Amino acid sequence: MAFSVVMTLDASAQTTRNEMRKDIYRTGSNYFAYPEPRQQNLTPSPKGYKPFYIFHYARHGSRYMSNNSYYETAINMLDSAKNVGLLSEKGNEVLGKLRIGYADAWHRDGDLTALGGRQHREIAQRMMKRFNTLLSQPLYVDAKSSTSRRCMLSMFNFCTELQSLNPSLDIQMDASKRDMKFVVEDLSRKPKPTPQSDALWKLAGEWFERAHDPRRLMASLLTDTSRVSLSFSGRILMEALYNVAQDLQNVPELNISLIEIFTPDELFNMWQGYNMSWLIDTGLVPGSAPYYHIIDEVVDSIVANADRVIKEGKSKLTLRFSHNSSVLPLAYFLGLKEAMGATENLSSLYKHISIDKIIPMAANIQIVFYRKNNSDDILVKFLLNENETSIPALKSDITPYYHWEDVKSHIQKVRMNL
Amino acid sequence: MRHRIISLAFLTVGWSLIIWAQTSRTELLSHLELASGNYCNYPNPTGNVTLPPDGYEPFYITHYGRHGARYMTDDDAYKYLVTKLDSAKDIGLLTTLGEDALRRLKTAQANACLRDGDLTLLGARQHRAIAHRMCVNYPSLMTQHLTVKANSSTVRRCMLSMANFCMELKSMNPQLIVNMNSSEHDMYYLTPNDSIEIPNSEKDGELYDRLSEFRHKMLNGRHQMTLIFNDTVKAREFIDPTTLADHLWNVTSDMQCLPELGLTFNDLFTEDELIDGFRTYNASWCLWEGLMPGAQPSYYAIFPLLKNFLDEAIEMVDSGKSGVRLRFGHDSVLLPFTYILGLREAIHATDDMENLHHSFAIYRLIPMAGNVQWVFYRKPGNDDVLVKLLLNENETSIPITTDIYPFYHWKNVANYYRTMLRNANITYKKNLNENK
Repeated sequence: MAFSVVMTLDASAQTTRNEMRKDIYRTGSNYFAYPEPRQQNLTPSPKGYKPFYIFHYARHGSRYMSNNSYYETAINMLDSAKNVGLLSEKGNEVLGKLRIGYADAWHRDGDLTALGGRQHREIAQRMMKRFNTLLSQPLYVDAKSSTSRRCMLSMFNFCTELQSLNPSLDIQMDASKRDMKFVVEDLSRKPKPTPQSDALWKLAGEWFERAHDPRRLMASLLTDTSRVSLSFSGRILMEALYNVAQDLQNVPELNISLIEIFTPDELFNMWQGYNMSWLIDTGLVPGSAPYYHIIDEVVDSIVANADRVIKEGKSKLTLRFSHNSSVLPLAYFLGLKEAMGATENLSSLYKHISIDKIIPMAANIQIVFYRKNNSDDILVKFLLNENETSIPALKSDITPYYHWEDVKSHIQKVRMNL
Repeated sequence: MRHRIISLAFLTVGWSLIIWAQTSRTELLSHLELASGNYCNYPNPTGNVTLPPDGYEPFYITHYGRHGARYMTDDDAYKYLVTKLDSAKDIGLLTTLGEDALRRLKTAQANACLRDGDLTLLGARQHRAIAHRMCVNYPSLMTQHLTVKANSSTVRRCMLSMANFCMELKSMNPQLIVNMNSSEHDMYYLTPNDSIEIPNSEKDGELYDRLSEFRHKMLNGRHQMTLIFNDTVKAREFIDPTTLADHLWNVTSDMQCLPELGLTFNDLFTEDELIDGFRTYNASWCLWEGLMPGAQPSYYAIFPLLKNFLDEAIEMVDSGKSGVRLRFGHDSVLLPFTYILGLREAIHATDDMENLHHSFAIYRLIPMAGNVQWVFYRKPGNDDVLVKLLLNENETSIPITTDIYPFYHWKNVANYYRTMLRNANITYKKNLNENK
C-alpha cells in the first residue's frame, strides 16, 4: 500500500452502485482478486493481554476457472460467426484475446495462478509482522488443506513464507481425506428446500436471466445479429464472456482484459444475480434453507482446538485452506457483521451483504486469542480479510475484542438454530 | 543468510549403506529393512562430495524425486487380511499368534483409514533432509539469490513432498524465489506419458509367465498359513495362501514408512521369506518397467522426462544463469529414468529371476524419496561445462568415457542423450484412448 491515508473502518456501510463502479472487478464477486487490507494499524489489546493462538481459515488464492468450458463455448461461437463473416472488428479482437487466454489456461482448470500464490505469501508476511511476538517463537504450526490442488498450493506458499521468516517454526502440513470432515464443508449435508426458499430461487433465477440480456453486447461483437445460426446463443455467450472476463483479473501477467466489453450496468446487474444466488444458497437470506450447517464440524473443531490450546497453556498457530463455500458460511456462523443483515428484498440485498467483501480469492478469517497472566478470561478478536471486524449480535465493552466464553455461546446458538 | 535453527536430526533419518556392491544374502540379512524394496526408508548418502576441478563452481541442479514414505496406495491388503482373519477367528481357526496378528492388523488399519497413498511424517522428513543436504553440499550455489522452479505430480503425496522440500530450502535461504506448481499442464513429463507408442517385444509374454511362476514360488504363503491358522486345510477353503502372503508382505514392508506406530509383522516371516518377498517385487518391477532383457520397453513413456531435463539444462547452460529445478513424482518414473540415463545401478538386470537381485536391486534405485540429480559446474572464461549425476545423492556413472570422473563433459553428455532420443524414434498413438 503506497499511501498511508487514515481510512474509516466503517465496513458496515452499505455497498453502493458507485462503489462497485469505482472498483469494477468487484463485480466478479467470488472471482474478485484479494484486495490488500484497508486497515493499517490494529487495535491494541487490553492491558496485559498477549496473543497466544491464531486460527486462520482461508480460501485458496486466485485460480484459473474451474472449468475451461466457458473459453470453449465463447471461442466456438465467435469462431463460427467469424467463418460466415459476421464478426465485427471488436468481435475479432475479443476472439483473439480469448485464444491467448485459453492457450494459457489449457490443462490448468482450477489451478492456482501465480497471483494466487503471491496472495498467500503476502498474507503470511503480514501475519508475521502483525503478530510478531507470537510468531517469532518456535511455535508448532498445524496446517491442513482441502485435498484440492489449489488449496494445497495455497498452503504451501503460506507455510514456505512463514518458514523463511522464522526457520524455527515447526510446521506440519497435510492434506488428507482423513481430515476433510473438519477442514472443509460437508457437501453431503443438504437441507430440504422450503416453499419460501423455492420462491426465493424463482425470483433469483428471473433476476439472473434479466441481467443476461445480450442484445447490446451482441450488436457490438457481430456485424449482423439477425444472421447468426440457431446454435448461437447470445445469452450463453454473455455468461461465458462474463466468467472469462472476470477470471482474467486472476492472471494479470497475461496483460489482457475483456472487462470493457461490458457496460458497468451490465456488470452490476450480473453481479447482483451471482450475489443473491450465493446468499440464498448458503442460507443467509431469511427464509432460505440453512445450508451454512455444512460447516458444523469445522466450527466444532475450531472451538475444540482453541479450548485445547487454552487448557494446555501453550501457544500455537492453526492454518486451514479451503473454499469460498466454507468461508462464507463460517463468516455467518461467527456472526461477522459483513455477513449479517440480509433481507428478503433481493433487489436491495447487495446493499447489506456483498460477497466480494467476504469471499474474494484468498479470503480469510483470522481468530486471534489473547490471554493475561492470572486470568481465565480469554479474549478474541476477528479479522475478515485482515481487517478487524465485529459481531453485531454480541455486546462487548472492549470491541473489537470479545470474551471467548461469549463467542462460544453465540456459536452454540447458531449451531442449535436458536 | 539467516541463522539456521535446523535440527541435525534431519541428517540422520536413514542408515548408511555400501553403495555399489553386488547384493548378497549377507548384506540383506544385516540390513533386513532393505528387503522392503520400494517401501524402503531413504538411505543416508555416503556424504562424499568430490571437489570439482580447479576453478569450477556449481551453477545448476536439476532433480527428479520420488515422493517420500507413504501409506499403501489402497486398503485392499487390510481389507483382505482383517476380513479373512476375523472370519477365521469366529470359527476358532486362529492360533495365538494369529489372534495377535489380527489385533496388530486392526491397529494399523485404523491408522491408515482414509489415508490411502498419503505421505507419512517420515516421508516429509526425508524430503526436508534431502533439501537440507542440497544446501549443505553446494553452499556456493544455494546461498545465492536463486529461482527454484518446482513441479510435482498432481498426486497429493508428491505435492506434499515438494512443499516440504521447498520449505526447507526457504528456511536455509530466505532469499530464494520458490515457484511451486502442480498441474495437469505438466503431467506429460512428470508421469509415464501414455500417449507414446511402446514398441512390442515377442519375449514379453513368456517373461510374464515366468514371473507369475516365480511369484507363486517365492510368496507361497505355506509358512504363514501354519503360523496363523490352527487348521490349514480348513483355512484353505476360503483363504488363498499366495494372496495372504502377498498382502502380508506389503503390510509388513509399509511399516517401514510408519515408525511412529511401533508395529511390526516381521514375526510372520522368516528372514529368508522377507528376502523372497523382496526378490518377487524386484523381478516384478524390473519386468514391468522394461528393464529386463527381452521385456517390452515401457521406459519409452519416460522419454519426455529426459527431454525435459535435457532441454531445460541446455537453456540454463546457454543463458549463463544459475538455478535449481525440482520435480516430484513416482517410482514408476524414477526406475525407468535411472535405466535410460544408464546409471550403473540400473543397467545390469538379467532375465534369470532367481539371480536377478545379485546385479539389480530396487532398494538402491527407488527407496521412498529416491532421486536423481544432475549437478552442473562451470568455470569463468571456459565453455567446457561439467556435470555429475547422483543417484540418491551418491555420485554415479553413465556409459560414456570421462577423464574427470565423477564429472563428465556436458557436451558429451548432452550429445549422448540427444542421440538416444533421436534413435528412440518416438511415435505417438494415433488413438489416444486405445490403452485406457
